[in-house]
Amino acid sequence: MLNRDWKVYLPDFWEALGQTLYMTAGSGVLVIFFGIVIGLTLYLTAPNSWSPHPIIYHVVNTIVNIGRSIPFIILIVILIPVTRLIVGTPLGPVAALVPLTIGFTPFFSRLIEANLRELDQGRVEAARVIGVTTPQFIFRILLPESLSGIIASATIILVGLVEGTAVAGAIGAGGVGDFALTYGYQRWYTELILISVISMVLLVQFIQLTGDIWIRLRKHKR
Amino acid sequence: MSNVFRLDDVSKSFARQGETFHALDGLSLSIPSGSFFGIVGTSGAGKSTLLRLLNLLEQPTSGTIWFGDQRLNGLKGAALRDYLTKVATIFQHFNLFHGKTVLENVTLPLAVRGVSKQVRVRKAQELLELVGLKDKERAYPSQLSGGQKQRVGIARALVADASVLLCDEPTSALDSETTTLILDLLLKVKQQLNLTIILITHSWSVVRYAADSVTLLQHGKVVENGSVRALLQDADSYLGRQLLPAPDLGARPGDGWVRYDLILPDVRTQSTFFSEVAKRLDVTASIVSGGIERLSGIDAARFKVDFDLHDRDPAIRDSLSAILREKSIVLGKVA
Repeated sequence: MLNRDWKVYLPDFWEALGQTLYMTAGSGVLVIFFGIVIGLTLYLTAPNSWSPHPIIYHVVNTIVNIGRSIPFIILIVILIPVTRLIVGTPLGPVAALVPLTIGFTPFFSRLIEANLRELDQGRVEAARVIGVTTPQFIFRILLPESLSGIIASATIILVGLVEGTAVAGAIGAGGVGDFALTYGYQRWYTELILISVISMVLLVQFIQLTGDIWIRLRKHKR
Repeated sequence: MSNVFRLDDVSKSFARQGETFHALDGLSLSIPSGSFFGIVGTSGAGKSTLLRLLNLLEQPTSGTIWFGDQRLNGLKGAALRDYLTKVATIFQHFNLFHGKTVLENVTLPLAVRGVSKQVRVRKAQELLELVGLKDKERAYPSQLSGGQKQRVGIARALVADASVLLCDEPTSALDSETTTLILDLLLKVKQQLNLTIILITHSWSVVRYAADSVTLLQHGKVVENGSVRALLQDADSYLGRQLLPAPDLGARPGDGWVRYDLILPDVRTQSTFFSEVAKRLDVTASIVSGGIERLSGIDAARFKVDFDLHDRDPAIRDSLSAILREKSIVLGKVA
């Protein structure tokens, strides 16, 4: 008879939770960074924008569209050689950062592009007649003016990444999703599924609440 | 007087749904430096395009634009940024940056030019004091009224020591009381900072209130152009009559009465006009309609007046015309 005391697996749960937090935070930083860079590129080079550049715009636009059209679970498999090249192994939380980042950056870039487009033409023209350079426009006007929208998008993408870590967990990344499947689903520890689900719910709530409060604190700045 | 801008045969066309739209069509115009230059016209007349050529948001399709002896066509990079230090713009919808405080909005033009924080804050505070918003420097634009936002816009435009202020319908989003306050402020800063102000508007009352030179645009061309004083003194000027409207209220003049349409260019020095005319010719005068407007600091009036010439020697008509012409501008003998 197997030991049915689910509490003995709690240390494994804590380790899995740590892996989920690591994967969410690590890929979150990377996705937010690359997403803002790509979103800025799309915004700035679009037709009739700050500095239109049709070739760059269409190339980046096409890559983003391709990235968004591959289902995440398939992307992880396709990226195994790339992951192995960058991290040395396709397994574990560090390796999972590669598909998580590549998988979620295209969607986040689109969200950022949409956030930046919220800046009305009037403020863009005010920036032009003040005589700002492109870097000044990006860092002093475009990003600060769009910050509330960017925070909202980051909240969406971090919640998405929590889910992404569970999917990645299914094929060897570890984390709470993997833990729930291994101990809860395959060994029928309902308590462990419950703990896993509650921890994910709390994590998502925490992310959403932080984002919402931050945006509320910026209410005058919109 | 020298000119701050000169436009030579400037055209600007846009492609709109496959058709070419000529916003400006061979426009030539000189804008005297130091003037409060009002540009009026209906929407679509080309006013906005004209202003956007002056702050280089657009480039002309053909023709040349001069800023003093600097050619503006194709200006870009550091030369453009340098030019934009001298020529600033305020907008109909203010276009303040929402994420920045009033002070940060006003210091921005200095910050992007590398002015030290201490200097730019001091400079911005001076400007905020000038526009009457000293106590609002920590507020965000969303906490301000429309009039206050435009004041911030004016402070932001002038903080980098511009010599020309372009105003794009600056009061069209404001109520009439606030409009007057903003126009008073523009007149004040023009005086204190020795500016040239170029203002586009569709509103005759804005032009009447503030401008000392007026241009009427229609279909991308200048229809009429001149100083308010010259326009008023020109009996054939359409602009002159628009600046001083006189509604036609009374019925046709009675039998033997003659009606004149008159402009008194300066009411303060002509306050005894009617009694003088009446006394000299011993005629009865009756004002049918009229109005007094303050036009670039002068109180000018326009009246429609009936004179009773019933049973009088026909020669009196010539004497009356002569006296009226000597004392006022006769736009016409209506009947």
